[in-house]
Amino acid sequence: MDKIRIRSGIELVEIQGVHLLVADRQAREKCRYIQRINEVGASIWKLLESGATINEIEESMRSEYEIEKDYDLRSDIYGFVNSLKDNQYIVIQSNNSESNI
Amino acid sequence: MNYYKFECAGINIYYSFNYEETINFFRDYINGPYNDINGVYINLSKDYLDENRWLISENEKSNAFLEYKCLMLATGNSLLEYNRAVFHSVAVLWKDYAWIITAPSGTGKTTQIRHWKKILGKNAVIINGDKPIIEVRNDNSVWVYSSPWRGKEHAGSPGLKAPLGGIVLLQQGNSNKIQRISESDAVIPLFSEFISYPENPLQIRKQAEILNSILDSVPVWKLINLGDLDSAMLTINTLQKYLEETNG
Repeated sequence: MDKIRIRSGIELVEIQGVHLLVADRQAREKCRYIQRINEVGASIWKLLESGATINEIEESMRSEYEIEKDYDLRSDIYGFVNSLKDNQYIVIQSNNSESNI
Repeated sequence: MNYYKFECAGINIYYSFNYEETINFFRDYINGPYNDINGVYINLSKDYLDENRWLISENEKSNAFLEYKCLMLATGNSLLEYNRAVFHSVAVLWKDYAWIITAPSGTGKTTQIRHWKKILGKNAVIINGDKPIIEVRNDNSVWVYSSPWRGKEHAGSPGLKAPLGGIVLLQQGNSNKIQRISESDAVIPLFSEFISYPENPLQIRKQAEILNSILDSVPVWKLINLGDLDSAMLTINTLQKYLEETNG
């Protein structure tokens, strides 16, 4: 199973309702200093911090938000998680190698 | 070891310098030398200086200037835990309040301040021309202090402080227009102007807390401008109107 690891030194903060991922000195060598994400993205980030899998994230999102059963939520989660990976905020490890999910 | 004390927005910061000449950049702001310390101590290793050589231009060879700039960064990080931050901006004292004008480098902050001085004369005093220090107090009031990092023009008045009245975000444009912006719209442009290089998540959280409190306390305007005298006049009139409305 793919393992998602958050890069050390990335902190999610909320200022005046704005959610930002902020990179510390060391993490800034790899990532942008500041990245704005929306409220749903912030919820996903918190779940990733707690070590949740994609299945668990989907389950949690469906219980937290009113989402139609047929809606392809998983694609949205993949899209967000892959954008985090592209921006180096997370690392996805699959069979001892980094990859998209 | 010789220690020099910088009373920085009410916090005693002690420096010991690697280069004797560094002291010159802090003239009017430090006392000493002292034999011991009673406050925050900052001493930078030469490795730290080398790692942060990006702070100065390639043509700048002075190690003392590098140390001066690195101390700005290290001081900015150290102050966060005391609810204070070094903030890239100019700060002017006018009508008993500090007014901060901020923008990325090269956007025209210094030009605006020159215009303010032309219009207001002695009624406007520059607290700091490049990197004042901001303090969020326990009662959530926000104060602005001078600092030794005054920019190329060395504009600033040691020892000066005032409560923050408001913040103006500068943007160059084809006409002059000023409007108050929401707290949320101000978050990213203001967060980017903190002079710190957070070493850890705790410092990131402190920086966020400070900005959150600032935005709870004071209004922010965006000034799109030509960089002319009229743009400064427009700003001053807008702030004057705001003061009249809030102070009755």
